[in-house]
Amino acid sequence: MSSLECKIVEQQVSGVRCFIISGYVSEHAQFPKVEKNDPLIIKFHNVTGLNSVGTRTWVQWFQPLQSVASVTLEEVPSIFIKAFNRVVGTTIPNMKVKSFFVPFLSPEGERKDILFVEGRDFNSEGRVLTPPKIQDNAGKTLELDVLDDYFQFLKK
Amino acid sequence: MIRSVFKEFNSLWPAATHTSLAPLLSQVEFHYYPEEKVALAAIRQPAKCIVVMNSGDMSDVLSLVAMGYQHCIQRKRKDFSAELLASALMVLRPQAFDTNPIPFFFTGFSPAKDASPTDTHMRMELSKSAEKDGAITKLEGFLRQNTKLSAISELCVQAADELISNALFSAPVRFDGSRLYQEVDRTQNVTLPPEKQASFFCCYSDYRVIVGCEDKYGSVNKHLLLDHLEMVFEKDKVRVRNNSAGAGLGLRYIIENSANFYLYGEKNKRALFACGFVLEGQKANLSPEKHFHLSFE
Repeated sequence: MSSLECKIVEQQVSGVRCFIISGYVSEHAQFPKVEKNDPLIIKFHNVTGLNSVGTRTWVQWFQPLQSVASVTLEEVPSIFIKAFNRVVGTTIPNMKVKSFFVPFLSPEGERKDILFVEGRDFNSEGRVLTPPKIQDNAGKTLELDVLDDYFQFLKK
Repeated sequence: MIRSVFKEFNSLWPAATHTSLAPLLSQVEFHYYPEEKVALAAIRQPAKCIVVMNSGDMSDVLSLVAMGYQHCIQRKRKDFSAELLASALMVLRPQAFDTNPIPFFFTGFSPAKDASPTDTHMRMELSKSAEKDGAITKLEGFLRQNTKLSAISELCVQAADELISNALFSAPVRFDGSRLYQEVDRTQNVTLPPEKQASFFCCYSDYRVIVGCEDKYGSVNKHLLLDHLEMVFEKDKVRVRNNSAGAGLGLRYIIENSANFYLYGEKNKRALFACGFVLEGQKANLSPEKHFHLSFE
């Protein structure tokens, strides 16, 4: 798969239908049809990018999923989190984010994405608990590298 | 007697440079925003005056640009002095845009002698939309070569994608000015004639990355552009456009992602869209204090 391809694989996870999205979500992304209203898991894995037309494709696919019993998002990359906060229609009321990535910055300017998990790093009401203290290999503390509204999407 | 950039801000630059800077920067006027709103409204040649912003959001910037101001720069930013100097030089020597393959302020104010690729500079000519993926892949690889760029590469790539799409789909016009490909589905391949190919570039220094794309149509219309920007920045959240081939989010992504935005348009000749990213992580770039340069010849 080239780095700009978007790949969506379907799996069953404990009997629940799960889509795994990877690659670059652009005008070429083709999301699968969802005809049943059974619960759904959407897991992100190595998403390398998202452009404006990819964002629209996501909105057009995602909005009808409001009729699905529940939509659980896992390992949401920061580029999607930013879209959740800046673009209308990128989120739906029945979605639940179980985990998402948060960028941290090393003193040398290197990025490290840390996975925030529900129950450990944020609660089910969408409140971020004390952010973890992240250190690099040299023991230097990494700084949270997001604007204050990054966690806005968690609030219902 | 104008209130000059040099008189007010000379302490920002080393004393050793004052002899050379004084004759230039003494000719460039500035005003503070919002404190001097009234004075700004009365300026006769706003294009020759720099706006130093102490506060204000994108709607303030767009109002100033609509009044004819071309350089709105943020006083609170750490790179204020560099951007002020660059803005003053742009006011004084706009022709440098014409003669320099990469505008002088993108290369530390020294004219680029050679436009060939180097470790810190890439350029790619694009005539087909099918080449966009290759350009993005090349940019990703280019940014990966320096670990200091890892924090902002995602922002750069997203902006680059939109800049390229703009040059290939939105910029091309027919002789009568009507858009050639604006309503073509973005998955379709479009081809520009050789003399109209777009030029995509990226360069970086120890302090920032510049990503830009120049089209050879110069079809960007200031009033339509400002209307569009007002619409996409009107609210915290923007709506996707469903009734057109483009999603209507591109410029918001470009401006929101970057710390600096530059647009230089020459009617029916070319338009250069570029953005600058500081090497201080995502937060510094996404923060709302943006340097904004929008010049139309």
